[in-house]
Amino acid sequence: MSDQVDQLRRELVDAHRSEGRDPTRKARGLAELMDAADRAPVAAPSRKPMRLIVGGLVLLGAVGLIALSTSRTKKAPPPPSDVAPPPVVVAEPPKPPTEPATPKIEAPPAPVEVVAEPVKPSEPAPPTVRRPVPIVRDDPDTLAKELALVDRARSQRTDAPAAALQTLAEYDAQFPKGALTQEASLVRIEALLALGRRAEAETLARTLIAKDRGGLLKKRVEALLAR
Amino acid sequence: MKGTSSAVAVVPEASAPPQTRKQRLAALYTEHSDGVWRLLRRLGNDAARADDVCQQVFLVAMDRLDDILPGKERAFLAGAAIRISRKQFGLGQREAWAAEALDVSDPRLGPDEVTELRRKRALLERLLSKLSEDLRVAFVLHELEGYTQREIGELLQIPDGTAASRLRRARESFDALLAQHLEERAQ
Repeated sequence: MSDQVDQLRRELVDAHRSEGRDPTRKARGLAELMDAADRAPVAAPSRKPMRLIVGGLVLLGAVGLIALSTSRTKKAPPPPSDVAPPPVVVAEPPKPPTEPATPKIEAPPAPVEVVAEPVKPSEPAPPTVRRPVPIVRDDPDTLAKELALVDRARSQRTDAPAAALQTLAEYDAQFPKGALTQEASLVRIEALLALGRRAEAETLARTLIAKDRGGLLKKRVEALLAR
Repeated sequence: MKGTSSAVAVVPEASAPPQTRKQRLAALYTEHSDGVWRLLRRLGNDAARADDVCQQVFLVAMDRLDDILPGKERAFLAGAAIRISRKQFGLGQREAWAAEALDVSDPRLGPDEVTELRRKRALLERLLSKLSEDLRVAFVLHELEGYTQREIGELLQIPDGTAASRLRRARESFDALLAQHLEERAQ
């Protein structure tokens, strides 16, 4: 009985592993992901939202203060002599405080300038709002074709490695700067190894590792060569 | 004059990270999306829902790409898949599994093989649905997707001993269900 159980369990595992995702949906998913990657902040993605929030709060605060001060200036325009001192205090850096006469004459605009000081922190906000968005987008159809070729090569790499290399040559010809070139190279290494062309596989592996600035592929390539 | 070549070399350096990042994401997707999707299917999601959750998993991976250590990609994605699936739908949507027609779209298979494959997948769905959630997750990860005990402990954030006992119980329970199925079929 236990043999039968083992046998059936193996068959069920195989049935599970042979289940594949609909290629069209998979390609569409990749295209959407690449699109999202284009739109996402390029560097330090986890900090950007926080910066936006802080920038937004500062901006809101500044706007609030401006609104408050303008309403105050509208309500109390008569006592310019009392209002005058604050600008003198804040105006310390630009001008010496020995000229109270000029601010008194231009009393109404002066408070606005005082409030404008705290607005300065929000100056870095525009860069966060005007984030440069890359113009070039991956065409979903192109990605789908890329993915189909790489998937085909992947499925051929062990049983029909020569055919896999042909498929990859087709991929290279069609997409010399494709989004999946790294993945295609990895499949090529596997196909070359399956054909016993180890020297070529190792040369390609070295090139791939050298090109990989992040060093993320090294482990995978080494694992392939170690087989 | 030769200095220009080094100057040229600097320019791609500056623009390299985004491209590398995108390429890594694409590589992650092409290599692991099928596995993540299958895992989601066996956790009780129908095909369409598995597609949705799978996409969310990779969006999470995109946001946290810098945190994913080389060699830990698969575990990261599986952990995210389990969490998102559990959070959004729970893992107990079992009735839908067996009822759903299981797609077998491999053109190399003949009609008899397709029928047989469908039957086996339906049986697998039915048996998995009888396991408790913890055991089902452990069984799917280890027996079907080939995760090691250590990987399962890490991604489920449970001690190694707990992972080991959970795997053992999952295997025993599944085998008991298989034996019961064989007995019923023999009668």
